[in-house]
Parts: sequence; structure tokens; C-alpha cells
Amino acid sequence: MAGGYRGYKYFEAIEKHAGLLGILTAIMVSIGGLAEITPIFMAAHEVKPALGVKPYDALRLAGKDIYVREGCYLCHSQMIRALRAETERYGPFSTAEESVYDRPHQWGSKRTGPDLARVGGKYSDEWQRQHLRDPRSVVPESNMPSYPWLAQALVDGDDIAARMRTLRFLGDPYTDADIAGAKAAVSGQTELDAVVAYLQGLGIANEPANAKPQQAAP
Amino acid sequence: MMLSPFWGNLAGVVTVVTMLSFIGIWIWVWNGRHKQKYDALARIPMDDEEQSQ
Amino acid sequence: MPKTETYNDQVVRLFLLAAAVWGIIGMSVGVWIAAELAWPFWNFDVPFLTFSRLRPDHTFGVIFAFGGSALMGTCYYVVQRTGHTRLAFPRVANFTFWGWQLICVLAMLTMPLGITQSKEYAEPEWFIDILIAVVWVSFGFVFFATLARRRIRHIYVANWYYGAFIIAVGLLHIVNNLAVPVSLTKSYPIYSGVVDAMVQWWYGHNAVAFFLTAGFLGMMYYFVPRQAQQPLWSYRFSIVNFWALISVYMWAGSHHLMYTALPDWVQSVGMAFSLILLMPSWGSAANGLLTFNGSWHRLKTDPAAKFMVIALVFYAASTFEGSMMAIKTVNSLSHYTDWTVAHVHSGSIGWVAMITIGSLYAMAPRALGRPAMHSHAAMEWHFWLHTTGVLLYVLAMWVAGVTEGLMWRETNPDGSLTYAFIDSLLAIKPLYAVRWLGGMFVLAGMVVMAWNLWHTAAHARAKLITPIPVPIPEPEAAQVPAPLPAMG
Repeated sequence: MAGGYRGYKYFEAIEKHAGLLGILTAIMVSIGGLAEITPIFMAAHEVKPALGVKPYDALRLAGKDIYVREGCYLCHSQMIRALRAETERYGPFSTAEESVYDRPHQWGSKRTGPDLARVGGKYSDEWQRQHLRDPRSVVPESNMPSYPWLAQALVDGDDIAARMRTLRFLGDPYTDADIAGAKAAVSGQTELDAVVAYLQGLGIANEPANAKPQQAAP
Repeated sequence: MMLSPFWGNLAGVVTVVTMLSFIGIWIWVWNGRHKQKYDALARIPMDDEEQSQ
Repeated sequence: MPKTETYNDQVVRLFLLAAAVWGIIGMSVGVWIAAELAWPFWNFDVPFLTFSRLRPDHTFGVIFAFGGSALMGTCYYVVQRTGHTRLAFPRVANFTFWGWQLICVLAMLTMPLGITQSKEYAEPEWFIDILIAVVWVSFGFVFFATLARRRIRHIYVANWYYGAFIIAVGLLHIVNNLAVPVSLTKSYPIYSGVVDAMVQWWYGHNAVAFFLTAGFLGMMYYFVPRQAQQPLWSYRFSIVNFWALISVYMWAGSHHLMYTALPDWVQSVGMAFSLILLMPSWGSAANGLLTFNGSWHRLKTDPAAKFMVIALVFYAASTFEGSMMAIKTVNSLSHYTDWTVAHVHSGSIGWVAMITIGSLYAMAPRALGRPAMHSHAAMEWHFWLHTTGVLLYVLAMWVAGVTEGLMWRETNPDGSLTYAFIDSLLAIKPLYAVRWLGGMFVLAGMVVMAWNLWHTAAHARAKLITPIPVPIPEPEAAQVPAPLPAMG
């Protein structure tokens, strides 16, 4: 065993001590992630106050969580890239501010169906309902699954209030009145109503341009 | 979303340090005097059970 | 006083069995959801059979249940043999087996019911995440404790990769899954929007790096020399590649978010490091392939070696493809299309599944106390079924992806878009059927493997296996790790 060479001894130490090898490995793998995520983390905290977008109201929050539960993000992105073909098809490119209340983010990674970041208002409520219940009744070539069960389940108001409390704990600015009114706001609404409300708000209710006049009013 | 240039500089420094340590490892490992040892180590997978059977 | 120890292969055999079972389950789900995309009829309007509910079962099933079981099993096998020592804490090792199986069953049952975080590749809800963390720490504990009692001073390079895999995956899992529960079945991540996207892809990318690459490279560095019956082509090259790979991979995660609302400099850093990453990736692939130099004739007679060689070719090809896809201009075409799916599957059923299958065929007879696998012909069949399946799958999805990318950006002379979105779907629908067929081939191969393993294990089921003795005598009580034994 060649151990005479002084410099080598230190590297040899790494190869022969499981603990040291482990610690160095942990340091090396951490550097990259930290260098990228820490600055974004810092910057993201600075973004919030300048923002006029309000957090999801009770019904849209329920809709968003159903969208998340059903796994819609697996086929639909919500991120219009800054490319001409994209803005031509879907509208202005998405900004970081638009998704500050999305836990988890819904940017997606695959478009088996089209992007939904600005789908709000593009179709009527009735079209959206029909499309969710049976996509091929409105788009015959579509390969999207049907979601008929959404129309049969009611949104649970107490659950939504609990979710809003958790979100407030995480920093989303819900007021006591928002939370108190949640149950009434979703009472009698089906999951289908909630998803349609959520979809119709995409690109509209989370858009700073639309939120600013509201803020400027008082 | 604006980021202060500090992070860009930090990323640059870290990149250089990583690069240097990587070149260091390369020189160390390729140092001729360890060749025999490494050749022996490369045989570990062939040396576990057959010997005793 | 010399005393003979034996390798503990009992837990290895359990993981081997689990890998075969989960492989079939995970790939069956994959074939099913592939059929759903081609023929939506297969959704049956049943919530838990619907594509969007079932896809996490496919990804979790093959990555964490199949891949995870194979990685943990081979890790326990390799760390004992490269350290000439018996597994430390066998009870904890057994716990990691049963714990991991419990996690897989819970995850596979809850996700289709809508109990999901919907974070891609980290879907299981918070209570399963806590179980994963506990089992993972135990796994690391057994692994490093076994390393600590090894009797070969130098830690063989395969163990470096297994170690990095354990440490990094633990770190990624915990950071990515930090969440506040609302109830047992629902939680919100502490990150939102752009930060969540960055954390998510830092995790998603590095799950590929450390779960699907480092872990399986550990497997490769042990089983390839073993099967080639030649020492590693260059041991020192493997060391350089190790440090380069683990330090560069983490930087590249942002290439999943090109042209998005992520800050520009992060995208550029991601692209630059993705290109650098090609060096250690090809370095590892070359090291494995060149190890077969001088024993290429073995490929004619040894299906396990064939699986390994093709796996390494796919590894080189898909890492090259990955680096290319991280170039912004290529990414603008490939992202969101089925090209991504083609890339993922050339990595997963090309590289990961084939190196695993090769390693399982190399390991199973030894772990089951048999001279060879039950049927040589079945291994050949499996090889050709699998290879055909991968090629069909990858080519179909590659063509589909490029078609989508081109159609989405095609404009008329007046600047308006040529195609509606649905046109691109119509254009690629036949390719979705080909992809399904490719998946069927791969699945059929897995069934053949399971049949073969079952018969190879017949002897082991009937009577106790003679334990394989550890070749070195027990060291003296006070002895610091014993010197290297005489070699070659």
C-alpha cells in the first residue's frame, strides 16, 4: 500500500473512512441546490407585498384542490413560455406573480392537452361543465378522461375553512371573515361547480392587471 | 423577480472552487504511483465468494 | 481464532422477489395508462382507473417500488461482498424491507383514491412521506454500519455511489416534502409558486440523478466487472467521475423550467451545467463498456451481460439526449411534448430497467444458492422482448414529440398559427398505439423473468440454502480494519 506520498494521504483518508466520505458527499450534493434555491427563496419573499392578487376565494380554492387531487397537471401545463408561438396560442406569457398562491405550483411538465394558464373566460361555464363530464361530447377527437363523479359530490365547507386556516398559517393573507364565510360560500356547490369556478378564474383572477384597480379603489 | 448580483457572484465563486477541486482530484488520482493499488482495487468484485468455495 | 461468518442474503432474496413483483405491477399500470391515452374508453369513468389518478401509480410503482427494491437489495448484496463482511443489524435490515413494502402498498393504494400531494414523482401524502423518511434513515444506518465493519480497508467505488444515493435521496425527500397537514389526507407544501417549482424540479431532477443514476451506477460498478469477469477498465476514472457527477448534477435541475417564470440566470446556469454533466455521464458509460473489452465473446452466451451492455449504451444515449434537451433552443421545441416521455423512458426502461435486470440475473442464482438461472432460453427471450419493446416505445414517442413540437410552432405567412391543438393530438394518436405495444413487449419480458426467477427459487423454497461463507477469517478483537488481502 503506497502511503508515503504526503498529499495522497488526505485523499486516501476520504476513500477509507465511511463517515468522511459520507459528509463530503453530502456537502458536494448540497452546494448546487443551495446556490440555486436560496436566492429564489429570498427573492420570492420580496415579490409578495408588491402584488395585488388576492388568494383563492373559498369556491375557487375548493376547485383548485380538486384539480390537484385529480392530477390534471399531468396533462395540462399552466405556464405560457416567453415564446412567440406560445403567446400566439395561449396569451401573454406567465409571470412568477401569477402563481404565488399555488401550493403546489401547477406549471406542469407535459401537454397532452393544451395549456390552461389563461383558459378563464375562453369557454362558457356550460361548455366547461359538459367538457368535464364528457369531453368527447364537445371535442370528439379528445383523449381526455371523463370526470362524471365531480357533478355528484358536494364541496365540504368545514374542510375548506380548515384548509384556509392552514394556508393562512403558511402566510396566505386570508381574513377571519374569509374563513368564517367559507362554509356559506360553498354550500350546495358541487365539485364540478368548484372546478369550473377555478378554471374560469385562471388568467383572470390571478392576474395583477385585474387586481390592481381593486386595490387602487380605497 | 429581481435578484441581487451577490448571488450571481457567489455562484461564480463556487463554480471556480468546484472546478479547481475537481482538477485537483484528477491530478491526484492520475498520479502514477497509485496505479498498482487501483488495479488491485478494481478486482474487488471478482474476489468475494469463489475463493472460499 | 478463525471463525467463519456468512453473508446475509435472506433480506437480499426478499428484495429480489419484491422487485420482480413490483416491476410487473408498475409496468402493468404503465401499459394500462398508455392504452387510456390511445383509447380513452379504458378509463371506464371509474375515478381510481382514470389516467390522471393512475399515472402516479405507474411512476411510483416502477421508480420507487421496483427500482427502490432492486436498489436496496443489490446494495445489501454488494456492500457485504465488497467489504467481506456480514450485514450489520439484520433486524433493522429486515425492517427496511417490510417498511419499504408497506410504504409502496400504502402509496399505490392511496394515490388513485385522490389522496395525493400531486407533486410530480413525490405524490404520496405526508404520513407516507414520514414513513419513507424513517425507513430511509434506517437503510442508511444499516448501509453505513456495514461499511464500518468491513474488512477491506478501501471502500469499493460501487459503495460510494450507493452512499451518495442514500444521502442525497434522503436530503431531497425531506426538503421537497416539507408540508403542513390540514387533515390525514391533505397537506399544503410550505413552498408556493415559483419557489415550489424550483424545489420540485431540484427534487425531480436529482431523483433522476441520485435514485435513477447514482444508485444504478453503484449496481453497474459491481455487477459489470463481475459479469465481464474482468476488473473495472479504469478504477481511477471511476473516482473522478464520481465527484464530478455528484457535484454537477445538483446544478442542472432548472433545465426543466426553461423559458418559464424562473429567473433567467437560473435557467442559464441549468443549461451550462447540463452540458458539463455530459462528461461524467459518458465517462461512467465508457468505463462500464470498456470493462467488457476483451470479453465481448461473453455476450454471445450470457444474456445478463447483454442486458448490461445495452443498458450502458442507453445510458450514454439518454444522457447525451438529456444534455441536448437542456439547450434552450432544443428545449423550446421538446418541452411539454412526448419527446420528454421518450427521453425519460430511454433512461428508465433502457438504462435503469436493463442494468437492473442484468444485475438481477447475475445476482439471483448466487443469492438463491443455484449454479445458474433456471432457464437460459427464457433470459434470451426476455432480452429480445425487452429490447424490441424499448425501441418501439422510444422511437414512437420521439417521433410523436418532434411532431407535436413542430406543429405547435408552425405559423402561416400572416403570422397566425397553422394548427389547432387538437390537430397535433390527431397526428400522434397512432404513435400512442405503438407506444402501448412497446410497453406490452417490455411487460411480457418481465413476466418471463418472474417465471424464471420463480423456478430458480424452487430449490430455495424447498430447503434451507447453504449460506455463502465470507472468505476472510474474523479479525482479532483489537485489530483496526484488516489490510487488503492478497489479490490477483
